[in-house]
Amino acid sequence: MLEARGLGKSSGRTSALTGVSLEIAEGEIVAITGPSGAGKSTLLHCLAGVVRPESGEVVLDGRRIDTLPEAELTALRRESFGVVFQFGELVPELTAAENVALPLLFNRHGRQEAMTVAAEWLARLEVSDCADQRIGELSGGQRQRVAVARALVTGPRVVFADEPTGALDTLGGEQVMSALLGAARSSHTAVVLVTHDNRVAAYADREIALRDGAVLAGVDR
Amino acid sequence: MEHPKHGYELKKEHDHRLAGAKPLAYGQVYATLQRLERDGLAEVAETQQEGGPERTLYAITDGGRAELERWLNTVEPSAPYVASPLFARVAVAGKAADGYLVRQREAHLARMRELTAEKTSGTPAQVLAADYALQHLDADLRWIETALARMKEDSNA
Repeated sequence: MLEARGLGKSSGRTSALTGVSLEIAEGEIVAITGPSGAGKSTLLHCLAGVVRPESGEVVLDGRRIDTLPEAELTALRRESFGVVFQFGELVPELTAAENVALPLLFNRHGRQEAMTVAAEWLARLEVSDCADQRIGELSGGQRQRVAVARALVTGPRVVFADEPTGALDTLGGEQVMSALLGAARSSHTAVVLVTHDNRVAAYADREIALRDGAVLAGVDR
Repeated sequence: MEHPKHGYELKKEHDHRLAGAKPLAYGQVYATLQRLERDGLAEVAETQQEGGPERTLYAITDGGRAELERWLNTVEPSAPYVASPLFARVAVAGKAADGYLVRQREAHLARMRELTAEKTSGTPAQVLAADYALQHLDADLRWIETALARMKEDSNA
């Protein structure tokens, strides 16, 4: 479904990639692991269409996406991808429900419909109580669940999660991982999970281990 | 207070509460009960015979309760020596162990995936046992990571 062919990236502030190829199947949960500087986040950004690779291709459902014009790429990201970062990156001026509704509003859904769907997702992630609270009033774990709801609300093909539990304690992280993967599995959404934590990686179906910008031999199958 | 129990009950309770540990063998249960009785830590409370074979119910004694209390509060000595086949292989093979370490890492992570999956449907005792196993495997993995990084640093130097 999502494929990278010989991705290379050397310039800029991010870590380099040297010819990374991988394939992610529909609904698959994959962990990209490795020490800091291995290129995990650069790879994630290339796959998610945030950064354009210098060489190689990114292909979604048979269609090459890394060469799309910016406007088309932005539209594709909104429709097909969801993202969860280490620190929710939610809009602090809005309530939890409004944050979750936001991607639907960008995709030209009516406000009422967007708020209804947002409420359903908050309920699914067991944070309905937080719907009318602003982001600053939420705990770290609640924020991440709201971020997971926002990532899944548009029914994306893939959710990209970059250290989604990095700011949480062990039990809080476990709850967010269970919520993310439970929701992703039931909606058959693929998840690409970047983490340096083996215990988080163990939630995935499969691991892609990166070292110095390349896939570690003998691990990827 | 716990009521007197026979060997089979004790075995079942052991296996339930120490989920993830090796199940007790029946022979071991009865041999242990007899030793505890000899040492005054347990006593025969009742012998039942209702049609089937004779069943002996054991109860803990005051001495047994004191010993249990003492054991529960004993700090386990931190291991003075590194004793692990994983470490031994690397110590013997040196830098040549890197291929082995990558495969060992993969096996550990596969086991962690199984344990993580088991946790979603496990009893509280099974979840605690899985946490314990997961964190120990994770400690091994982090050591493997460090060992691989040191090997690489040495070969670059």
